[in-house]
Amino acid sequence: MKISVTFMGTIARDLLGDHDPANQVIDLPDGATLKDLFTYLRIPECREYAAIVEKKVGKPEDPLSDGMAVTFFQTVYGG
Amino acid sequence: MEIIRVDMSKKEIKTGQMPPEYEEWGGRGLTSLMIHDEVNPACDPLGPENKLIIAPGFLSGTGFVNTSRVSIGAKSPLTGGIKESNAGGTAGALLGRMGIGCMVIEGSSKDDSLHLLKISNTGGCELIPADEYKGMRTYRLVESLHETYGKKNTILCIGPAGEFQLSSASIQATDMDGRPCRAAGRGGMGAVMGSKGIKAVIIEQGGKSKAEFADPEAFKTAGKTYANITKEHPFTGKMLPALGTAGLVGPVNSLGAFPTRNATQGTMAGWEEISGESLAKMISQRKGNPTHLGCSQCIVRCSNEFLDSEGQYVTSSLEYETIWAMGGMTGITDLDVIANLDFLSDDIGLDTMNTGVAIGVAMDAGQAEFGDSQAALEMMEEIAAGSEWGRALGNGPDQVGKHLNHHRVPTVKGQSIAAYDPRGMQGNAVTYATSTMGADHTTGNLVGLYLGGVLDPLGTEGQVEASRNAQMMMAMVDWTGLCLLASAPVNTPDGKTAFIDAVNAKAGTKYTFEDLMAKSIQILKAERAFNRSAGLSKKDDRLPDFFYKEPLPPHNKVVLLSGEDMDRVFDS
Repeated sequence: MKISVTFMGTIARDLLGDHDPANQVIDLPDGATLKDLFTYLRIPECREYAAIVEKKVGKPEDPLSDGMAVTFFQTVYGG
Repeated sequence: MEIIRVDMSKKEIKTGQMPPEYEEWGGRGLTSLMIHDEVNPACDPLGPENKLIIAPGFLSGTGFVNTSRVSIGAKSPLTGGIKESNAGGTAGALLGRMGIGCMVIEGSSKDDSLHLLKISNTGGCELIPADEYKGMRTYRLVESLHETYGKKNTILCIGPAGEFQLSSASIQATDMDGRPCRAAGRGGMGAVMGSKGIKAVIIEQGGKSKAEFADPEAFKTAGKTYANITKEHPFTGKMLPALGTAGLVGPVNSLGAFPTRNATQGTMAGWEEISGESLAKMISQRKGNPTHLGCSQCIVRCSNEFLDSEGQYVTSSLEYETIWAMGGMTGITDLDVIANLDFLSDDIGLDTMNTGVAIGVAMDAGQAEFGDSQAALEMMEEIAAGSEWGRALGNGPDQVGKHLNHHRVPTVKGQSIAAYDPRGMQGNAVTYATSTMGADHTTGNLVGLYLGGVLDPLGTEGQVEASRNAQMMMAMVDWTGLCLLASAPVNTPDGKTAFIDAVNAKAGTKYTFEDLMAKSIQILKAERAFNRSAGLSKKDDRLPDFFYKEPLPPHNKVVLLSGEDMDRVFDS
């Protein structure tokens, strides 16, 4: 299945070696979860990085489905 | 530490040693305890009985990073209760280095004359007649004061809004470049300063007292550890230096909690145009500085310098809350317009948040279309001109709502909410309702818990406890002078230890984290006692009705926590 992924903040630059954060389409096997996506992208699975799916912070065990859009953010503590 | 008392009724200044009971305090701890102890809660906030207290944090002026906050407290003309609003820039560190624990400005002029309060680097203080500066906006004022009294001096000042004693009037503080672009914005502290007849406080550079540390080596070690954690932390070391606080636009909007068009929507069409990513790109393309040093001791550098398309300076620093208030709430998606509105706020001396929300309420009530940039700019000039409509706007959203008979006014205790809709972040509803300061995100923002997956923003479970803990944590941060934005490392085990070690090394104490929380409770209890005596009751610890009746898209939730839930924050 294909997952549309967007990187916000400095995630792409800091973790993916990409200086121009952009949308990417990732191909994952059926049955993959959000945890699998974190693993595939090598984004640390911790409080400091959030994946938002359909206006909610996703949990590692959340199943992904074809065509889903996932946006990765750094956790922010207020402004 | 020294205490400076300025009696504006008698035009007398007295200096002396800080009373022993206040020696271990600074920042919000000092302002709130002193207001509790010395100010009649029933007094007119703009009368001679009120006191304006200016205090650097307990760690301000030391080598500990990001501790240049200066707290300004008084009874608020906006909330009718106690208020502490703190600003960055250079004042906190400078006052701390000079060994000044606080300045207490009391009484008031019997006429409408204005004065400057000048603190020399040898510790001398004087009042200087300043009627020639009447009506002057802050940028021109600071330029003039720098020419007369020295270019490197730090200045705290008011603009026309403070002189009009408007409830949204700020006290502007100069930054590292000497511009009056940092603000103690919330709660009308500028109006209190105006009521005292003080146009500006000038603090001469170069003053230094012998630093007092119980254990200098331990302090140095703790400071170094905290600095290293701050540099490595993904928020303070990566995101903030690159995008500034504007980096919050994306996450909060993506959670559906970005109050838009006077809090009628939780997501904003066109949010990408005002995001931190767009702001940083625009600033870089115009050869501005997206990683600007705004405050003394700062290693985070979340500030920025915004230039126009011709490369001319517009404002510094364009922050998340301002982008939201002047953009999200008004429906304006043009960063150039928002930057101009930010500059005007600083120049007139206004809280960007209360003012942006007031404009949003006016638009919602039909005074202009959402997104009408020209109308927003004209409203700012109305405030500066002191017209009747301008005074309603400058007194904040409540006054605008009354003036236009409009029901949707997102305030608590008269103060506007911040850039997190309480229907999309239920715990922030608790903080807005129960904070001693009115709706104030800086007293207990839970956004980090929501994004970190620790708490469900749309549920009710754990919200009261989380808000209570956050309110205690922020009271601790506020009395030490640590910048809120640099406090994220305190949430890490090593960062927390280093922070506590630094406090102990300075004070000569052996406080645990629980001991520091107990001190926070002492502050909160004093603030609540003051508010109760001032006439604020449980009915003031409530959100406006519309948050319970109007579901917020996209989640279509209302606030789910009841009045009884709110009361549990401080009753347990």
